[in-house]
Amino acid sequence: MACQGLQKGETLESLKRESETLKKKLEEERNKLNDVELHQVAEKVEVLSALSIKTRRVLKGHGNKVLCMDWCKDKRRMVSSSQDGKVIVWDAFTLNKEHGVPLPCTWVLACAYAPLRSLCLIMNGYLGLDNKCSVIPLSLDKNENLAAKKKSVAMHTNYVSGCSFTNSDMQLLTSSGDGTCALWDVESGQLLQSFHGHTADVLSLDLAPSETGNTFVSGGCDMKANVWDMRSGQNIQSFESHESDINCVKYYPSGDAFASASDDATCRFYDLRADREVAVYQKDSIIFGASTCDFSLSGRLLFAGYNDYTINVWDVLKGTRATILFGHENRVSRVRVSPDGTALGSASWDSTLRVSWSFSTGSNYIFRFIKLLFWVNSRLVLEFTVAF
Amino acid sequence: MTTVFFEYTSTFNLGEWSLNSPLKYSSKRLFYEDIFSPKTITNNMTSNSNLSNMRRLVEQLKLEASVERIKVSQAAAELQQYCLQNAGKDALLVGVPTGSNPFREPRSCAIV
Repeated sequence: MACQGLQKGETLESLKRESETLKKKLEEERNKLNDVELHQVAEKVEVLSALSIKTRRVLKGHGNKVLCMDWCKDKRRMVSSSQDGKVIVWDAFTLNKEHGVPLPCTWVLACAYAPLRSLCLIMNGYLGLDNKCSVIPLSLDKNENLAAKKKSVAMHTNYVSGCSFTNSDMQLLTSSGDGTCALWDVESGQLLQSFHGHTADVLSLDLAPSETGNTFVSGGCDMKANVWDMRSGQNIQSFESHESDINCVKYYPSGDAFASASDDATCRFYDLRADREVAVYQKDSIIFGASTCDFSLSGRLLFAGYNDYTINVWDVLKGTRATILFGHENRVSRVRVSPDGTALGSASWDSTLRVSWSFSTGSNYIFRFIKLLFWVNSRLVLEFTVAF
Repeated sequence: MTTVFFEYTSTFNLGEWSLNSPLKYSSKRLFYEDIFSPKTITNNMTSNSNLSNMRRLVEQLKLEASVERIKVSQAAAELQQYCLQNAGKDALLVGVPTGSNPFREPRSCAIV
């Protein structure tokens, strides 16, 4: 393949010129349809009322940086992986640790829950030259040696940076530092499709949310975000407007757009049908890179974790910052909204995880009144029982 | 393949530095000259693979230019509509009743 000769009249220069003209044409086509900005369209939308999202739970238990976390589909369990080589499954409300899996490798970069079965996916980083992605089936029996049931599924030539089960739960999509993404069959470990096109490490990927969807978006160190067709392996669309590495990409809940978080201290919002960037979320006071991002259930809020230890919450439509969450004492490595949108989980290099949710202020007074009623009631009951 | 392995181990053995920064800084940035085969060494191969790369790039650009697009105003309006439609269900936006467990199934209270 590499030894194909020159075709008639084709030279490296002519191809370069052709690619330049095509790039310009692409820009022109995209700009023609850029008739208005997203925040202008959203001017008529009500400004968000003050958000009362606060950290309600702090999960301590890891001995070192927490590199990754994910929610379980039962909406209350979380799985987290840390540089101390442990993967822990937590109950987010009661703070119980349900499982703890020690692994021989310390660079467990990512983990995820399988959508249908209670499979926990763990990825091994490359200390020990293990550029593999392994799957571990979880069970309720705490005495089982879970690490022994580890099954190696994917294999890359460099570290594996991101992973995701597909909708069917039988296939695994991975992204790697070798610049490729790959689709694997979980049972046989076979490579089904590989995706080439990035010219540097691919740092993150996200699957389209629809049930029938078969596209995914990946972002990498070449500052590009590419949208791929899973069946053909083709790169459908490519977006290059970031000024530094893209650390995280996430689809909008409707599947028509996606956001990316980058080391250039901005998050950007791209629409797939308009084929261009429609919003940039940045502030002069934010100079540290964003390492992770996620949307709320309705897509109105974009949570982005930064290397300055904060989580900025952006109003997606208006392009302004809604609020800022403090609390972590080191870089925020991952933020994830729970599957039903009730809570936000964040993992950090300060070895803790935090779960935050919002209480509606309106019901505060009603709640207090009801609490008072119950107290009065219980006092009366006490009086009666004492009398008897 | 073995050579590549040694390159990676040598960059990693920088000890403390590599453990305190994201992994991407300790791996080599790979610039593919020929995507479908391992990095080649001879000059002949390099010029041919540059050519095939350029050809691939041109094909890719043609494909991207032919994508069907809609106006930003229409796309933005649809995004906004989705947001507003689902805003009521968004617990991080609206909030859960104070003091309650957000992870419990929502139950309706009946006053007896």
